[in-house]
Formats: sequence, C-alpha cells, structure tokens
Amino acid sequence: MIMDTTDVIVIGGGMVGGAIAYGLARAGADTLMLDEGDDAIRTARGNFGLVWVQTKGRGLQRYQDWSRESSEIWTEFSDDLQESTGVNTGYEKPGGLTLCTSEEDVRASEEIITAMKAQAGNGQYDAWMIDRQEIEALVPGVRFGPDVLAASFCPHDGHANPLKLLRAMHAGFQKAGGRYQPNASVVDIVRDGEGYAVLTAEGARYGAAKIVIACGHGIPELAAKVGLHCPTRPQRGQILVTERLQPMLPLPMGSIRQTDEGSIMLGVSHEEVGFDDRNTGDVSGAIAARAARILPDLANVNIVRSWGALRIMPPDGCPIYDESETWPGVFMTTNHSGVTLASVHAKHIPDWILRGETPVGFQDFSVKRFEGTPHAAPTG
Amino acid sequence: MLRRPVEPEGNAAVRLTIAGQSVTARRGESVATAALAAGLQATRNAPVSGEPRAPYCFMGVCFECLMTIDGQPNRQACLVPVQEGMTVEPQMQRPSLGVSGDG
Amino acid sequence: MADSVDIAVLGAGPAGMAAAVISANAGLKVAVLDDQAVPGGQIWRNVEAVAARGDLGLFGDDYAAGVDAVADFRATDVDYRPLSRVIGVEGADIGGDVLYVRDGKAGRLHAKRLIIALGAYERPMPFLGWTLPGVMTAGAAQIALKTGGLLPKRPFVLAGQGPLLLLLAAQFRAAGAAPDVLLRLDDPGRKWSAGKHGLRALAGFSDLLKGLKWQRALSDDVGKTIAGVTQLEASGGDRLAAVHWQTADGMAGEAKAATLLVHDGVIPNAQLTRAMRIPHRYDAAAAAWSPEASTDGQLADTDWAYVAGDNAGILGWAAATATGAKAGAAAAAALSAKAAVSNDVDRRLGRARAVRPLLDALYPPAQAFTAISDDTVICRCEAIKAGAVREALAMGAQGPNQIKAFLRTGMGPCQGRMCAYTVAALAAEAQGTALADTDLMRLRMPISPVTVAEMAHLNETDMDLPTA
Repeated sequence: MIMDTTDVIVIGGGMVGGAIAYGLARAGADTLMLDEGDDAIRTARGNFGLVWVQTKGRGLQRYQDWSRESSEIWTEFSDDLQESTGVNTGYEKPGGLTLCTSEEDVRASEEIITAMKAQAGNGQYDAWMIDRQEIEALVPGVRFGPDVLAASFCPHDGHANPLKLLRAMHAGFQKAGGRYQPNASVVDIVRDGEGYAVLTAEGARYGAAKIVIACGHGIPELAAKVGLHCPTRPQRGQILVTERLQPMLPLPMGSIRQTDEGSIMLGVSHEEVGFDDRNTGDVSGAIAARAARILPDLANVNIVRSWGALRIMPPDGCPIYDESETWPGVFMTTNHSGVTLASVHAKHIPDWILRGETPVGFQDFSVKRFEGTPHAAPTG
Repeated sequence: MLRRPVEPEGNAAVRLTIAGQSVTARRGESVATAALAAGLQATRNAPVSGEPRAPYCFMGVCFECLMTIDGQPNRQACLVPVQEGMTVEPQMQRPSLGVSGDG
Repeated sequence: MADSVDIAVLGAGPAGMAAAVISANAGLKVAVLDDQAVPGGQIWRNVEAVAARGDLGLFGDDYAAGVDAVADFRATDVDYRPLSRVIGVEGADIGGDVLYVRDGKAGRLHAKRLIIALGAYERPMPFLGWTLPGVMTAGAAQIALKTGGLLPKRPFVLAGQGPLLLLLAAQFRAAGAAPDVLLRLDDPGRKWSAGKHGLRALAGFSDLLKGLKWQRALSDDVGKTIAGVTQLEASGGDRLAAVHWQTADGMAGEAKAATLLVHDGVIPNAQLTRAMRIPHRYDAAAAAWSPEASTDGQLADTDWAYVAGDNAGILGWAAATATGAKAGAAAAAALSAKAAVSNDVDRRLGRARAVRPLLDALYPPAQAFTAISDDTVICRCEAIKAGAVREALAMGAQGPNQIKAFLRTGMGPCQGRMCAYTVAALAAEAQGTALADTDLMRLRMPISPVTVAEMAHLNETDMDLPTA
C-alpha cells in the first residue's frame, strides 16, 4: 500500500481527464492523474478530431453556449500548449460543413437551424444553409458527387489532431508539475479523514482532498460508490482512414475530414452494441459507399486502417458535470465531445473543483436534469 | 540491386513500360522485381520523410513497392504479376484527388 | 446468392494445400484464397514455372518437393482463388465470413470452418541504413530468382544468421552468383546454450547435416566470410553504397555494395489472427508470437477456425504439410466428413519439433545481441526512429498501443508488420519486463489496404449508416 497525499486526484487520463488535470496543474493545484495500462478501452484514442459547434445542445442551450465558448478560446488553448510543450495540435477553424445528400437531409438540417435559433432566444445561432455552388467554392478543386445537394455551414467549427492534443495535454500537465501514474485501475473510493482515498486493482492507495472521476466508461460504477448517478452508455463509432494524400480538403465535413498528416478520415456510425469496439464489414462498406458517393474521386484511394471507438454517450448527448452531495469534493465529468470541450475544461473546470466557482448556468449540466425521466437516478 | 542474366523469350516474355522505359520481363514475375531489374533505383518516396525507398520483402509485407500501375496509385507492385502493355510509374508523391478523376 | 463453402483455406503454401487436399478428398466443398497468382506459398514460390524452365536444380530438394505437392493440389477438386487479398474475418451464427478483395471488389465468403495458413515472413532486422534502396531480405532475393530468374547486382553482401542464410548462399552459388562478402551474425554467448539440446536434436539430424554441408561448400566460393559479426550498418545517399560491420572481437570492416541481403530468421504472419483478437503467446525460445491453438490447430476462443503451418509457429515446410493435414482432418471431422490422414504425419511433425529447440538456440534473433541505435528508423512507414520510441517510453507511454497513439508507429500501410516486434522489444527493454508479458499493438480489419471503391462492395444490403 502506497500512501500519497495530494490536492486533487483526477481519475482518467483521456480527453476529459487530461484537460482537467492540465488545467488544475497550471492553476497550481498539486494534482495526481491516474490512468490505466496500455490495453484499456481508451475512448480518447478513437477520436475524430472535430472542434464542433453546429447542432450541439439541442434541448440544452447551455451546451450550445459551452461549445461556442470552447471554439472561441481553442486557439489560445492550443497556443499555450504549444508554448509549454512544443507540441502543435494542428488546430484550424476554417468553418465546418454537415453535408446533405438527400432532400430529407436538407429538411433535417434546416429544421435543426430553425429550432436552434428559436432555442437561442435572441436568435444567435451561427449556422446557415449553403447550396451546392457555395460548397464547391469552399472546397475548390474537388469533385462532389451528384447526391451532394446542400450543407449546413458554421463558421465556428474546426478540427485538430486528437492524438497530438492528448500528448500535449499530458506533457503540459507534467511540465506544470502534475504527477502521472499509469497502470492504476481505480476500483474503490473511500473516505479518509478530512478527504478521500482511491484504491486501485494493483493494490495501491492514493489520498487527496478532492477527486475528479473522469474515466469515461468507468464512471458509472465508481460514481455509484459516492452517491452519484451517471446514466451514460457506450455507443460505437467506426472510422476508416485512407493513405496520405495531397492536401485537398480545407474544411472538415462532419464525417469526412483530412488530417494534418494528409490521410482522410471517413465515418461514421452510431451503433448501440454494448462494449464491442470491433470494426465490421457491413458498416465499413456503408462508410466507403457513402464516401464514394460524396467524393467520387476517393474511389481508388486506399483505406489503410480503421478504428472503432465507444463514445461515452449521455442520454441527451450533453455533458454531465456534478458533485456528490454526500461526498462533497468528489466530482464527475463526462461527455462525448472531449476534443471540442478540452479548452473550456482546462479553463473553467479547475475553478469549480478548487473553489466551487462555476460559469453562468453551469448547474444546467447537473445529472439532476434527468429526474422525472427514465434516466433518473434509481431510488431506494 | 537486381540484374537479369538471361532475357526471357517467346511466351515467357512480357513487355511493359516502367518509368517511361520499355522493359521485357519474365511471365510470372511481379511488377516490383521487373522494375528493379530494369534499373529503377526507387519505387517510391516515403511519404513522411521524402527519402527514396525500394522493395525490401517482395511478398506484400513491407509496402515499399507502392507504385502507380495502369493509372491506379499506391498499388503493391510485388503482388501484381506483370502483364503485356502495363504502364508503371514510381510513386514519388502522395496521390491527389484530381477534379478530372485522375486520382 | 451468398458465396458459401464448407471450408475456407487461407494461403496456398505447404500447409494450406495439405489442408485443402485432405478436406476436399473427404468430400467437402473447399475454397482456397491465395494472394499469389499460382500455388506454392513462399517456399515453393513459382515452382511449376521453375520446373518447366528446367531450373529446379538451382534450389535443392526442399524446393523440388513442391512439384508434387502443387500437382496434387491442382488435381484436387478445390475452388482455388488466386490474387485474393484477405482483409478480415467475422464470426457468424455458424462458422463465419472471410472478407477479401479480388478483381476490384471486396466480398464475403461464408465458411463453416476456416483454416488459416498464411505462413511466415522474414523477421525485420532494423539497423542504421536498412531503409536504403538496395537493402532487401534474403527471401526477397529468393523470390526474385524463382520468379524472374534475377540475381543480385554486385558487389553483393549477404548478412544474417540461421539455416536459411546458408541455403540461400548455396542457391546463389549454384546460379553462379555467390556473395562477395558473407557476414555471419553470431551471438557471442550462444555456444553455451546449444549443448543441452543436442540429444533431442538427433531426431532431426538430417536438417543439421544439410546445414553443415552447405557451410562447407560455401566457404569455397564466397569472396570473404566474416563470422562473429555483432553490428551491421549500411550507408549511402539515395541508395546503398557500402556496408559496415563490427565483430565481437572488436574488428571493424566495410565493403562497397550495390546489394545487401539480410536474414534474421522468420516469424509467423499473425496479422489476421491478431486482428481476430485470438490470444497470442510469446515463445521465448523462438522469440516470436504465435496464436494460441490446440494440437489440432483449433484457435483459442473460436469454435470454427484453425491455424496451420508456419502461421502457427515456425517449424518449416515438412511440419507445415503435417499440421495442414491435421487441421484439414480436424475441420472435416467437425463437419462429419472422414479425412484420410497419412500415417507419417505425426512422425514428420515429431522430427521437426525435435530439431527446433536446437535451431532456436543456435540462431537467436540479432536483437538478442545487437544494439539498435537511437538514430535507427524502426517504423519504416512513418519514418520513426528508435530514439523517439525510447523518449515516449520515458515520458510514460505504457506499451505499444500508447506508443502508437503518441508517435504513429504502426499506423502506416504495413500496420506494424515491420515495427511491432521492435516496438515491443523497446518497451520491454525500457520497463525491464519480459517480452512474454508484452502484448503487440492491436490490429483491426482491413489487415491489408483496400480501396474505397472495393470496400463499398461490402455494402451489399445497401444499408444506411446508422446515424445519431
């Protein structure tokens, strides 16, 4: 048993845990980040890389605002990371497109824009429909298939290299004095005097005044131990990745984007298959068929690899941030847009953890919003 | 790297064009071996470092033999048997998505 | 109409052909997928054409044995599908599906039983300069000779270790192109470990005798033989110009070279079985990972798939014909068909198994006794050097999957075929752990590149992508 005392333990070294720990260390808190071993589920490794604002938060305006703020401070966040670690996340904000390949798609996109504008009250929702010609003007020199009819465009959308982001946050965390402990699979949280301690499967014990449970699919089980309910579920997304190509796609297009290394990522599925993260032939075929319909010149491009990741999906798709009432100082943070929200996580979450200071309307993200719905905490 | 001590004749001979040069190869060999025997120094430039690369394994494992064969880029030349009239180019650049579909 | 067979065999080398012949002769519907244009696998590469042009004598008896094997295979009622690239395997209610590409489209072959016999490939041996054009594996040169009748350009250096090295040198000598320099990489510490395997190895005596015969014949013709080499380096600008070496005794040497052939043993081709998430075991004696399987070759964690030949573990071609026959018979029995297994199968297997520990002890991989410098490229596709991997490990990367996420090792087209072993070795070295406790990086379908258009054919039900 190893004793260790710390201001904050962050359980989970993925997109969310990494960003929060980075922010905490930079805020001067003595922070210990616990991470599992090389073979963990690691949703963070299967990330499309979008820093996306459009369509976020339908039903929860706070989430749209939160995403919008993320996009506004992402450049500064990325620059800070590069300055302290030398790693460039490759963030760009050229705007983003959600392509419509049928009349139904067009109507659906239009409907979302209308609804989001109404929800924003003062009409401030920056996304609009563009036609085929405007799409071609934004992505010159590339042939679109006849199915591409229109798109919804949002100037706040962008993308970054998620693996570089993760690496940068880890490096930045350690540079700021944070301590990283891998091969630490947390199995229990216990009270320990004035604070708390976590126990790991490897037989270690770490103590801290505060704990942030940010371990993705591991949250529901741990949260339950501290009186917190976490109604997330796994949702599989499959992606195909091409060989490196000349730079051709300046804008991310929802489920097709070209990385800073030149490969094009083709996606994406949303499957309810439990914890099965394998790739399948039928979905791979569907992704390839869709990609070839959208960009016919992809036909002879090689797919060299694929990945499948299990999104951590809350019932309404919006983040859940909450603090346990019976275990004050123990927090949970979960969402499925870890890349987009990395900037606000690093900037704002530490203030909440350390001083209870929250941005306006932050309580909208509480798990209590599910009370009275089938996703409410079980009673009794 | 490789030399051809005996020119194939008759039915064993296959004529193709490699890097603009007319080449006679042996039926049953791959485009990759034919390319090296024709004197090609590199089958491709490595996409990350830009250095010249040539085949290492000839059996589909190393992926250094990626060449453009009959207009289709990044094909493993060691897994493509030579055929009469084929056109082969080294893969010196990353492929692009041309507007005209040249790929 | 669905494409469906009783048994799908992947690979048409000694094991694949044996499995196919025995199960087809038992009355089952058998398909064989082969990425080559003609049967024979790697050891019997192009044997029909070589026999037809009268060159069998160049390659020795082991190669000539392929003539009958291929003829038997051709004479058997098997659906042979050459130029097919397997991209993945999926389980189904009964048996499963092989996803593969042929003739410009991806397709699904359903099979009640699957026999995977994808053989082996040369163990990658990274050293400074190994990515220079002109550096190839010994096996590559064999393929060039068998298929194209091609010879290495001089000056020609052959470097490495193991019985196949000597076989190759003998073949080039027979073709009138013996190497100018033969560098024998030798583990300075090995003399001590070979002894204990001596007695058991007597069962495989003829293999050892073969090696000794070649060794003696060779020294007559090779320009220069240097033994005890422990470091190798290649230099040049756009291509190979010279080879440099050092021996355990501290002697250094160099030679101009237009061709450098290297050989460091072979390893099972486990890309498909790893992508199928079959557990793999590291065999320290063989210094290689192989899929876990029963004595019949049935793969762990599956009830419908088998592995045979060098794909299951390196034992050579004679054992491959035996394990192929056993897997074929087991698969046939599972489908209630009776296969006729010849009674020398177990004897062939026994002999190969008896000599293997001695061969493994005599020829440990070069990595066991040579150092990889920080400047050596270890991931060829992404041009990543050993130093970068060591740095990532120092920064806390736990193993090959995290190293891949940090550095992109294994993300290129070869999907770790060239670098997975090296990355695992660097991780074990940094962490002071045994390779047996290290897992190789995770793999997924497609295990070989497939174009977008080819892949789109898998969307046979024209399903819409499940969307949010």
